[in-house]
Amino acid sequence: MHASARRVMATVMVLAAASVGVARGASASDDDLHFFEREVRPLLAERCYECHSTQSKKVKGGLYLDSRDGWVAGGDSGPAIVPGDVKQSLVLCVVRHEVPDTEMPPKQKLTPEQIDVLEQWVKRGAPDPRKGVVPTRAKRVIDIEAGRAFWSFRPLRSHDTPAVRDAAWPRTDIDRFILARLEAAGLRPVADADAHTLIRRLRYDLTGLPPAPDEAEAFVAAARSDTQAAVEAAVDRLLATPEFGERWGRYWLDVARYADSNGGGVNYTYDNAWRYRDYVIAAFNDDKPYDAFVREQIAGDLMPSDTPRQRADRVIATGFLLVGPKPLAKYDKQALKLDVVDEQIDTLGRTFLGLTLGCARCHDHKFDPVSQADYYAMAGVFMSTVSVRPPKGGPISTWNKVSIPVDEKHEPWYAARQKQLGKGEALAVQDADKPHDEHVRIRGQSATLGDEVPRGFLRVATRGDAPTIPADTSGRAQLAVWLTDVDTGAGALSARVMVNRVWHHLLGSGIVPTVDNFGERGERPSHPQLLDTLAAQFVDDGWSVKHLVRRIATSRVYRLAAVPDEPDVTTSADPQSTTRNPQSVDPDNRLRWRAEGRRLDVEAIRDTILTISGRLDEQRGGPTLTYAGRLNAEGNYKKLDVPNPIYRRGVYLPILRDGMSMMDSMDMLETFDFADPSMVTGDRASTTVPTQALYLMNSPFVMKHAELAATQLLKRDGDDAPRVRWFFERAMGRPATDHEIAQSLKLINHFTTVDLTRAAAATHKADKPGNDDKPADARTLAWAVFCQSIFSCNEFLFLN
Amino acid sequence: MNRMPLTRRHLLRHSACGFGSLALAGLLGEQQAHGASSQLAPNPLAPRPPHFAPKAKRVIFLYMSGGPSQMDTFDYKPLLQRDHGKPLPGGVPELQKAAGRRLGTLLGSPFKWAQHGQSGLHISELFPNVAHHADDLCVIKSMHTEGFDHANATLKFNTGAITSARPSMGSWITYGLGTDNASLPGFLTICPDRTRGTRNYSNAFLPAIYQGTAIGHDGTPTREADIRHLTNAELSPDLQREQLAFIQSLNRDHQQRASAGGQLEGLIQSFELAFRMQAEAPKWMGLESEPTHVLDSYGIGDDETDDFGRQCLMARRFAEAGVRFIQLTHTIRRRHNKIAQWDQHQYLEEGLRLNSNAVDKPIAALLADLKQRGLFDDTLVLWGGEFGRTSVLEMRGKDSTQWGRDHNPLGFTVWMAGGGVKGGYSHGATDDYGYRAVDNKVHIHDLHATILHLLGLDHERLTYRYAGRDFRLTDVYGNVVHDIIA
Repeated sequence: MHASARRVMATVMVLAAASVGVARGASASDDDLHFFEREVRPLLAERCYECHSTQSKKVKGGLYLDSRDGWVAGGDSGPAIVPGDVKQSLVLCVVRHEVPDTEMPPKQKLTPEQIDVLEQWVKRGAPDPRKGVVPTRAKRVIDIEAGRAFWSFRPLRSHDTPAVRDAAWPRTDIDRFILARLEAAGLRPVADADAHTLIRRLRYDLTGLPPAPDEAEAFVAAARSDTQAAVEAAVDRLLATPEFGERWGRYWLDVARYADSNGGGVNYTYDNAWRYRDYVIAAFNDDKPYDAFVREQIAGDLMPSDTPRQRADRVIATGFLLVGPKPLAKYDKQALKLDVVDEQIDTLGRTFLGLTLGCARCHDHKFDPVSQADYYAMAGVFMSTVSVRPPKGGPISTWNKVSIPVDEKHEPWYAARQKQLGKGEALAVQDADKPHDEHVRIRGQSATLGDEVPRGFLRVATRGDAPTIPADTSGRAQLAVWLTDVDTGAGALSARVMVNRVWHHLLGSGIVPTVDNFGERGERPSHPQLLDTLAAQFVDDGWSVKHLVRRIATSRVYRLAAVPDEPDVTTSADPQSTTRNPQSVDPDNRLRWRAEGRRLDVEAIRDTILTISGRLDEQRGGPTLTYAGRLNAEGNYKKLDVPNPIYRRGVYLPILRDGMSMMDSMDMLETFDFADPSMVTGDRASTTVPTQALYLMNSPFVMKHAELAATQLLKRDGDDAPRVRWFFERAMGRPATDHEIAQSLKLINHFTTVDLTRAAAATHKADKPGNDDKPADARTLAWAVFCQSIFSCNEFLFLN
Repeated sequence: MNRMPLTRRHLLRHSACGFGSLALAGLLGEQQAHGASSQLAPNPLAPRPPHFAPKAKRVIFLYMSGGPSQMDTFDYKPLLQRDHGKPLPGGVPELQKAAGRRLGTLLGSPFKWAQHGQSGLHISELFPNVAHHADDLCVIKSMHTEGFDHANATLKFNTGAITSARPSMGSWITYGLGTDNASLPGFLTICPDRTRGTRNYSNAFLPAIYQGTAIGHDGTPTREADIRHLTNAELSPDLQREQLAFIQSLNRDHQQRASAGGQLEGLIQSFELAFRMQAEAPKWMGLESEPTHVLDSYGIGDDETDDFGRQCLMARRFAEAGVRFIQLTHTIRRRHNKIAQWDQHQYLEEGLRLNSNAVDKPIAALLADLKQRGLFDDTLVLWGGEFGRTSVLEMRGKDSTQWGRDHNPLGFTVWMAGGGVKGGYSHGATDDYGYRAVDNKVHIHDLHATILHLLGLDHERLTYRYAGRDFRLTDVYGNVVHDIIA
């Protein structure tokens, strides 16, 4: 929260909000007027008009002091002067610096004489002959009904599949929607990707790992006779692997701004956050209906459960509300609560609804039909929920924890690590003892109270009567239902947002490219009818994410080639010669005439390197923190930066908010655009900065695993050429060409002659901690240079 | 979107794998400056013109981690000396009371004060060498901020925000102005305090190219500070060049087959820049080429001043090299188990002497060196910590000699020099005891606005669209402090 010199504290507010009353000097005497002209007017002009007049470049606080009507009406904090009453006149309070952070003028205090002049003036009844029209503030009144007409707030409906001229190309309805638009623009889709590219794409998109060479060859063989059938079989097979949930769960953790520590000034570990992480992964693997997934994360603790296990899961799910950053050391505990609630509302808005609700904390949303009252209606729900607890001594608050039954069968590591990890607890919320409604906070300042607003939901996304919130509950249960209710609540929007996220992950960009913003400031959908139809089907399918993934991944659009950006794009054979150059018509490929190449994300790069080096630890789930407590000190991070590095999949790495760079074993994440866990990230950055190149060229991690990969490779029977060919296929999903084999062997032979053993021996101990293999010979080291080169080349890092 | 003429694109596509890409990056940058866009991403670090004529071209930020005490360094308070031992009139503010620490009566500064230079600025005996430059200093005594603990106040100072992740000052400035050296990052931070989190030099939602590149970190001596993974432990540069040639030939073939041209090109170029950095950065970081008298002037080789002396000399070299934003961090690597950083909760006198002795000579040398090389006038030097300290004593431990001062965001001092600020100038004031800023108050947002202004950037126009909103370093706040501009 930003304190501002213009902030007005509640105490002053309450005083000044008393009615203006009848000005004692309604008919001012000549003496009074003379006093005003001689003393007051010049003072106001000199010290106040800069920010408080119709001539101001920008009027501050909505207050005008250049006319009587101006101070009578007052600014955001109410009337500025109560004639005759020096105690209740806000202007006097602020010029006397009686309230911290509200000192006026902000830069230099008035002299005692000047303050005295103002006092005299108020005592005289504030005689003021100045007439002037106070500009009515261009206050935008939010028109909820008009807001509902905005595309993302409309009810969901399925659209008829459009007719297409080329009936042979489409495989699914998705294809017909896409092709119809392309044909209308005079474009044709490019050719399909080849089978090697396709299985690599499917493998990474669905599981985040590369295809094994024999897996790739089997797919290529199957695709030769029937590509569609081969794709469908591969999709079904991959959807059933546990790696699917690890891949898609991580996407969710990005939008849930998941971390294993609080971050910031008091960076405590969230010892039990891993339970939420595992809950998310399991939800995707079990194909938990998305509406239930949403509801559990908001109010799982309030839902009836059939078994203790289900009960525990649902409590754990509410960790969603708590894994964000919290200013735990903030001394104003009421402001702290509001900050935490703000972070929850903002996250909920972006994650589920694609709305920037946090903007409405201080004022009505400037672009979207969300009023400040809407915001505080939801704030009431979360202020009636226990998220943080006051300190037990000292200034630092803690977060809420709930005991859960621990099933030792499910958690074999539990007994062994009980001491480290504490009791069977979950990072989870619960309802407050006394639920209550919240006041609007003027300008978002916790102490500046406006009207009280009943707990409730966004009006723009509510149709008909909003659910009633019983007085003795927080309203989270009703909010959870509202979020996924397609008919009367925000369900249509929630479905659209999720469908778009899935599309984005499979096709590289969303139908709405701004995946976390479906508001006025977001981009519009390229294919609104397709998005709505998919969302309606998603709901009809029981909100099944796996069905949705399957529907998109088996379309022909998904299968397009990522052809290079050249004028002579190869198009499918087209008898009609009207086809235009797609690059000039649709350079951004919003109509989907080709696939877009993408850089792999950091987990995929890392997990692939570990797979190829043979070191990937396939243990799933469970805690990976090896230290619990406050971070903020070099030594504490050291306890986490364990001597035996974690070689489990990236999704299981401990995510220390604001502390990732402290751990040498984690620095790859930050280097390669890992999602900042303090922000909702539906679309990670994909940058190409030199630090990434340095990492690939020089880091002990890459060098070590290149060496391990070389060792593995040399154990394979046969000649060097087939080895190179196999390694290309292992790393990049396709066999090497003869030219590439020749070049690779040239490199390997050259580096064998150079003999790197001496240099390597020097670094073996110092820079490669955890390398338990005996020093490699010259040949292995030369092959390691080759393997590292492959790990560094574009084709390895990119998905075509 | 404008398409780049095919010939130039063709040229880029086929020559970007050699060292020629440096010149091409310049070409592209020039094109961007003229408002054209192209599909092949222009070099985002190419120099960009400011909004208006700048006073300063670069910033050296001397960050005194921990919160130096204003009333013991640059904010002389005779009444505090006089009323030592009396209670603070009006009592201790709620802010400090809430923290539950044992705070006592007014604590006069134990240090000697004198006026220096023609301007007669008051500077305590802790900074005898910096005091020689009194007439160059522009001291702002009315700073105030938010955040009562180090991490929050540090975030506020560096990013203007506490709870939300926002780009740091150095990232904003590099985003606004690009940089003048194509072989070095535009924003370098030497020995940053990692425990405070990388958010302090993070790009947040700005493109990653604008993040601060760390050279070492606190807890390691500056002489061992290095950019991570800058050197290869096994391959010589020649061998690595051969390996890179192999990689780039694979890349060239791949580029013929794949889309995402701009990004692939970016990746190819990033390897070339990385390779150049490997060669160039050590040259600028290495101080071996500096003559002995220069090393001596910075106190390098002297145990007490070696760490910060090296940082200051590196800063001068990076300034010469054209780096836009150079941040130094001074922390004491615990030589006394109770003294850490500029955070004198206890052992006030001993702790401040230890800290100031470590930085005074190096800073004075930096100012003199910048002047001698003609860099002083367009380099903005900023000295300060995340907050100030209380005028009342904090009692930790039993013995009064161990006592110190608590955190205080309500009033503190920073100073600037060079880069278009008035020299020998004092701006604003705290109250009689140095506790709260009262006159001409300058909030962190105002300081940010002023720094941008000195660099020719309008803080209300330097924006970046993220999540549907145009963000600024100063959020919705900030007033340029025109009074301090020369």
